[in-house]
Amino acid sequence: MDEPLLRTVALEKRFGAVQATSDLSLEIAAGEVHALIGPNGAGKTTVIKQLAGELAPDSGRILLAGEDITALPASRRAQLGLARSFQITSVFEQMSVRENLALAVQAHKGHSFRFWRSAARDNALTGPTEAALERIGLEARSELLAANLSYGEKRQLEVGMALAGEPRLLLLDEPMAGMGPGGTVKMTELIQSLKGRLTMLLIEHDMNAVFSLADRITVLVYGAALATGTPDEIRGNAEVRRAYLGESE
Amino acid sequence: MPGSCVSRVSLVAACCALLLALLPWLADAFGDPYLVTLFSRILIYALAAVSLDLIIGYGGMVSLGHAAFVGSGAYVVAILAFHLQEGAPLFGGFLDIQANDQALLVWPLAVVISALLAALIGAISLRTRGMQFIMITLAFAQMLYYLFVSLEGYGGDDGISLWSRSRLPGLDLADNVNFYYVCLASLLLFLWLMRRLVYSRFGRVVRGTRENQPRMESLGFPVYRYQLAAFTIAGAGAGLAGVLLANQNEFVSPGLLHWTHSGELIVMVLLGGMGTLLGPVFGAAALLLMEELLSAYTEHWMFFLGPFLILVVLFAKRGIYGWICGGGDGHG
Ligand SMILES: Nc1ncnc2c1ncn2[C@@H]1O[C@H](COP(=O)(O)OP(=O)(O)O)[C@@H](O)[C@H]1O
Ligand SMILES: [Mg+2]
Repeated sequence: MDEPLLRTVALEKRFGAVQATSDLSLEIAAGEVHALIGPNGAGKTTVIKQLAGELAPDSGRILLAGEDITALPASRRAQLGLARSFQITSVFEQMSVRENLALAVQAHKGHSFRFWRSAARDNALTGPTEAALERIGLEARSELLAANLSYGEKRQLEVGMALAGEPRLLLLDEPMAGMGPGGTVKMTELIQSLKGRLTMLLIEHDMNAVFSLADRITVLVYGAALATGTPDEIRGNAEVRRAYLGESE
Repeated sequence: MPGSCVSRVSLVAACCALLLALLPWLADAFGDPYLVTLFSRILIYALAAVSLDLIIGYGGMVSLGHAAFVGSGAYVVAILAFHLQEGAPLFGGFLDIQANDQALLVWPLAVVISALLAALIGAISLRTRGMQFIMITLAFAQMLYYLFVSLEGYGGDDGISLWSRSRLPGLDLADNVNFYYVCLASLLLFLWLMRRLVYSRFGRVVRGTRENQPRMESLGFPVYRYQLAAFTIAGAGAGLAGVLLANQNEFVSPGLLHWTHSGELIVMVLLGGMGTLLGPVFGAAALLLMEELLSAYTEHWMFFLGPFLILVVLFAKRGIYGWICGGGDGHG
């Protein structure tokens, strides 16, 4: 079999008495949408943080396309093509929507030790920035400060920034959290449109969205993978139903 | 409205620029040559405050040691002039550096030394955040303060008096009006550089880091090196202010590096409007003018100025700049 795009080997993370990640070995194949589901506190965000480089695992390894990235800082991993969106919206409130996206583009278009030319008129940035604006459908709001966006629009911007750098692997931490039904539909469409072009690890509580978008699903309980499989396999898994799906339905 | 904010600030800035350009004539008309000296001081402090605002206002790095770089710039000028006056070789003659009072040589050297000092202090300080960063920048500046206090050869506590200002070919800096225009040109040049910088790619990274450092890292920016570059550039600006201050006063003392002097620069930035280009200029002018007026009536001027500053910082979101703006959201 091909080397998966991302692989974790026996990842462990403990917060005091809490075992947040337990002997976790994930494999995300290139091109797939891999969903990570599990009850609140199961350790989903903690996994993303370790993959993105914000938290160091206690032990275990993380490999991106076969290369060990366990010791690399977050910014280096981002440059290698690992992008993530945050469960709690994390945008630049005092910048316009456009500048938020431009900043995300800028991170992947050469270095930023350029002191003189106006960044707003930098052709290497403006094209991809406009494309990113269009992708999330916020063209009409582009000059607004991000602080003045509605909650749903901020969530779109949040995901749009992760997309703007054309990552190889996108880590989405509950992109639909707190959105109304309209927003959830829009976000599902956006992710659907990226499917096939981008590899994604998707954390989401909306089971309709998960089962319609994911190629494979991993169920996390108490930091450990309970099962991994196609949506049908997961639906039919008795253990999963008992531990997770059953209680929420 | 941001639009009206920009136009109001532009109007005020244009008026101020005109006033500053004509100041020597006005001083003449009022028969008060001291005004030229006073406004030279204001321009120099404005330069220092603008440089500090790059790191505090735009970069979110609250440094309480900025005066160290003003002091280092001033001391480079003073020490090189001192050796020329005394005829003593520099560093006991170990290094091939000539005592000097040529502005074209000494001033850039002083700026570079201040920048290097800032790079060194920044490289260590920027490994910390928040309160720790404030304390460590303060500690470095105080260390340098005590270093200069202990250098008896350079006057220790009493500082160094210069015999004359630096020499510039074709322009007599001993003339206060000439010197005033050099200060004005330096400030305008620095403001122009800052304006380019703030809206460049680099400036965008610095602004982004102030607002949301974790997100910057996750977007792929190794923020430390950008912050360090900003800190170094600010140190260079402060060094230039120090160069001018040494020439203005024809005197330097360790007091230039004292933390209260750093505090004064912070007050100028807060009073004028943090994170704006012109705010610190307004702040420096307001603080020094109030100091001047109040000290004519009472020696306890700080007693009256203090509460006023607290009110401004509490109630005017962006200081004088915000007030000119009419409380709008505009960016400088
Ligand atoms: N920084 C932290 N310090 C201590 N405990 C933490 C920390 N982050 C997460 N935890 C704990 O780890 C467990 C997993 O949290 P998290 O990964 O956020 O879960 P999920 O995203 O699946 O809801 C929870 O019990 C949480 O309280
Ligand atoms: Mg979570």
